[in-house]
Amino acid sequence: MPSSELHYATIEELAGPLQRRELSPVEVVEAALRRAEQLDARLGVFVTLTAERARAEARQAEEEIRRGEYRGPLHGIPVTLKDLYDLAGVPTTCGSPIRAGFVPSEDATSVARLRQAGAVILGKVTLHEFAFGPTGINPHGPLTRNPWDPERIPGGSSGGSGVAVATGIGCVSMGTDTGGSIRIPAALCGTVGLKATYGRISRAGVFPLSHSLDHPGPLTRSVRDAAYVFDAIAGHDLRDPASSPLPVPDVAASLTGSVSGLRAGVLRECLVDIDADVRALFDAAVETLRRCGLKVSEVSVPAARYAPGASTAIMFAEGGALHQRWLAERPQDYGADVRSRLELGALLPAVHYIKGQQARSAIIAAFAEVWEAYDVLLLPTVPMAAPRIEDQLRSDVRNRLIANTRLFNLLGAPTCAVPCGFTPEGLPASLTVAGRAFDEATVLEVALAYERATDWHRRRPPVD
Amino acid sequence: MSRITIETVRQLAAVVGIRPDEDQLAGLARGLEATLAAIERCDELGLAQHEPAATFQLSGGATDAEL
Repeated sequence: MPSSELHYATIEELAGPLQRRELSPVEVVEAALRRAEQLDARLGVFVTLTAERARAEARQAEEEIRRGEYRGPLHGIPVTLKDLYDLAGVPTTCGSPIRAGFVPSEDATSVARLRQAGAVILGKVTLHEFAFGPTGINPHGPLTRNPWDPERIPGGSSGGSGVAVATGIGCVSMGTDTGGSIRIPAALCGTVGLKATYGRISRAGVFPLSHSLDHPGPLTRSVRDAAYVFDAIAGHDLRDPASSPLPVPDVAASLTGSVSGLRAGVLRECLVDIDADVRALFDAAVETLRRCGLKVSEVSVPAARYAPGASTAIMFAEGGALHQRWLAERPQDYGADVRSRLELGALLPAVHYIKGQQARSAIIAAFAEVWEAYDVLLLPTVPMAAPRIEDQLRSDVRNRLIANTRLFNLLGAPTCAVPCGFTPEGLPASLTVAGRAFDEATVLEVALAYERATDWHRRRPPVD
Repeated sequence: MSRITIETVRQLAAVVGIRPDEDQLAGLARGLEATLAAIERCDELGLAQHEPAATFQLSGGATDAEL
């Protein structure tokens, strides 16, 4: 691969040369840091760039590999973190002045596992304030811009993560997803985004928004890369009381890209109010998967229509409870949009929160039959391409951004967003593959089959 | 007629100890009204038959099939 393209290499492309010492982690990390230097001021990606620390870790990785102590495919791979993840000794701001002075003494569990696997952390990237919003625009931070059109939003809440991965600033960025916050920026920036099953990836050391809906997970430039990260970080963690004790299979090793015989349902409730160009790209993606051997039919689950009400009840009430003290003591330190949502959440009666959790149980029960008849569900990740920054406060725009994503936080089901083409304006669209709880392997298998049949994930944004 | 007035918001806010800006009260009242209505529509799912979801169920105790 040409050195000028090193920053766009995937983990899969880098791992072999790194292991064989044909390439040094120092070169890989320097390429990512050059990229950060080139683009950060224009696109507003970083809250904290830890360049010298990254260089030291890259040298250490180089030395370990030289000694024959290769740790696996993440060894020497540059990674960024949404600034909600704790990295010992570096502030976790959550995109808010309220948390600006907080410096953790311990890594988040997923960060510790990434570092154990040899990954090199480049720094902390931007997010919607406290991860509570789908646009990625934060009044307290740099204005994060979409790399496909800088006048458009990156999507959120993991906006910096989407931009970093799309532009070659690291191979991976760790995001979080409470109502779509990994999948929305992945869709709008043209990357892969994996929200694993609830409880699969530890939340310990990741600042919460809504305890029962929060899902940490990676954004990457390929499906197999997402599997590599999943394999490194998934699994039981005593630091997280909701962490699943179920065993985790070696997903990356099991992927073949074959979907022959698998059954997919196109979820009718997620085909409402889709922009025509996005719908055409989604329909073409479904046809591509049919040609790959996937058996596809349409399925309707009317209970899904209640997901927005249930999701709002749970997310707003849990978020409101979490922020109550700061809302009382430092209301002026919140941006207007996040403050109003948190205040609304703090005012919700307990009755309505409980109803939200009951509705969640009812929706999970309604999907039980679906998972018997189908191995995966297919849907457009976001019903529109990236909106303009000037429209970021419009409630109709925000509601459409999260229209298809919130359901899967309620279900706790694994979902993977993959690029599925470009609108006539040159903006990415995204296909979501969703599956049964704890069956990330099948979700990623279908996503990989689609990725192999197309080259959308290899398109580069016009930032050079 | 709306059941959530600006005064309702003031009183609820006082109970939980927060102080929304005066010029935000009307918007909060409308938002709260709409949010409560959306949640109450979930009654159509027959909520009495369903226990509230719990995180331990979602993360491993979900179903026998998954175990």
